[in-house]
Amino acid sequence: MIKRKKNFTLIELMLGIAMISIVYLAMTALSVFLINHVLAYSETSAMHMLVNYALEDMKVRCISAVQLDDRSYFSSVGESKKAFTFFGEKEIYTITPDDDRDNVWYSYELDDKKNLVLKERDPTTGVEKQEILIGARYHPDVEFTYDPDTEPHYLKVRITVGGQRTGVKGEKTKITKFEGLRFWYLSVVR
Amino acid sequence: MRSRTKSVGRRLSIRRRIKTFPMNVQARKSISLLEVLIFAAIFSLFLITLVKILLGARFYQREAENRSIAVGVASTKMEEELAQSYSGLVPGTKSGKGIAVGGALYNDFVDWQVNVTQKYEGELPQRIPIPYKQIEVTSSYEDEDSRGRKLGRTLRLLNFIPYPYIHMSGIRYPSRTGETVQPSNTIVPFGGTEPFTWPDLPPLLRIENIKFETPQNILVFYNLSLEIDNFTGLADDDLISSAVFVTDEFGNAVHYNPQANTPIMTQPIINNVVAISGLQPNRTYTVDVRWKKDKDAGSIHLREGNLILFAVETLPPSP
Repeated sequence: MIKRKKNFTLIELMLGIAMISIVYLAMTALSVFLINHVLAYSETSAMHMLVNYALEDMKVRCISAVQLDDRSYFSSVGESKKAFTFFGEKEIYTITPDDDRDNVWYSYELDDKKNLVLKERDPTTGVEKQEILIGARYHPDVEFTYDPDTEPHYLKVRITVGGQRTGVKGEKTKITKFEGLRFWYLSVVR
Repeated sequence: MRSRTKSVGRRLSIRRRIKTFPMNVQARKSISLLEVLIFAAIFSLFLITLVKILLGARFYQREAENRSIAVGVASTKMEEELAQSYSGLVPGTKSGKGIAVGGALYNDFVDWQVNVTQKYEGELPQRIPIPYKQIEVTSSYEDEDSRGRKLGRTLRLLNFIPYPYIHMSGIRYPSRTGETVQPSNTIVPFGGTEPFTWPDLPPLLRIENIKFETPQNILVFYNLSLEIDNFTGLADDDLISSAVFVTDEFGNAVHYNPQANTPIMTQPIINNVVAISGLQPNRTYTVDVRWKKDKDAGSIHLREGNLILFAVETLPPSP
């Protein structure tokens, strides 16, 4: 029987284990880096979509409002509010300004849990609904502003959201977007 | 002499044993340096590609974010312009940065420009052009590509406000602060003896500089509230007459019927509606209400009054 045996020495084993550990750690760090950035990108994309959806919802719903809540009127010298309540069409693409039977009360505000919500209350049936436009995990902030050098049936709305994950530069993403809200049938200034 | 056959047989048997008993021979196969180098090279290429994709995704996402914010700025400015009336939109250009809200400036890396242009539709010889105002909002910003090169991005929104189909204007007495003060004389004048004529009576309530860019039919509403200062000489059947006059830019005043004849003593309020058709486009008119009494007695003055003009567009039929 011919035997040719070549074994690893202790030093070779130790070196091999050290190199494998280094490669494994590098692979793990790279994977974590990639995953974190992919999640940060997807979070940023999600924030943009949510803010765009909320702004578009406000723009489409406010235009046919026929009445404001008393607390939602603005001063003629300029004012900002964190909530906005109005009486508008239940079917936003079927506008009947002379028929209030198909209208509901809408309210854009931050609820107790800091979600940006759209509340809907039907005065006929008393049914109340709530839709979360932007969840509290994104720390949404909303502000409705009337500037005195603009028309009395025009408002600006600002929505700011902040991400939880850090980007490439180590900063958390913050997004601020605006939309102009026109009102066909009423003035927001009292 | 040994037999050759025996040694050959012994060698053969060894070879056979080698073949039949391979476990007795340990042949080791290991990874050569060349294979390790090739693997390292391929793995490096993979890593480089991955990092490039990651960096590229970062630039594309930032580009999408900037574009989204620029669209928001342009949309906000467009809504601000659309909220104005047709007459409030002054043709011209204005520009700025970002969105100013309550004294603070946001998204100031986006420059915007608003351009309002007066335009006309349907300018055929046999048709009257319909005016409209075109609103163009341009927002521009600076971006970077994946190689760090500066790029200028621009996006444009277009909308328009058509000439209003209905116009309304009005004036009242007493006038409020900032309104035109009129009339100069609120005492009802004597119109002369029968047959009743309309001498050059001063206007009581007047709306001036009425000018439309399209042909219009108008309805003129007026309400007058009287107060009698002196009843001396006035009888129950004495009348106050009121009528609407339209004066064109050449000074020609046209009296329109129906005129209202109201008993002085029994009706302290005069209401009338007059329909006038065929106001020509781009001509300046004045509409006023005049009144007179048919008896040179007593003294009556205007207590309150208003004059309202309601104009609706009328176009000739298309050829």
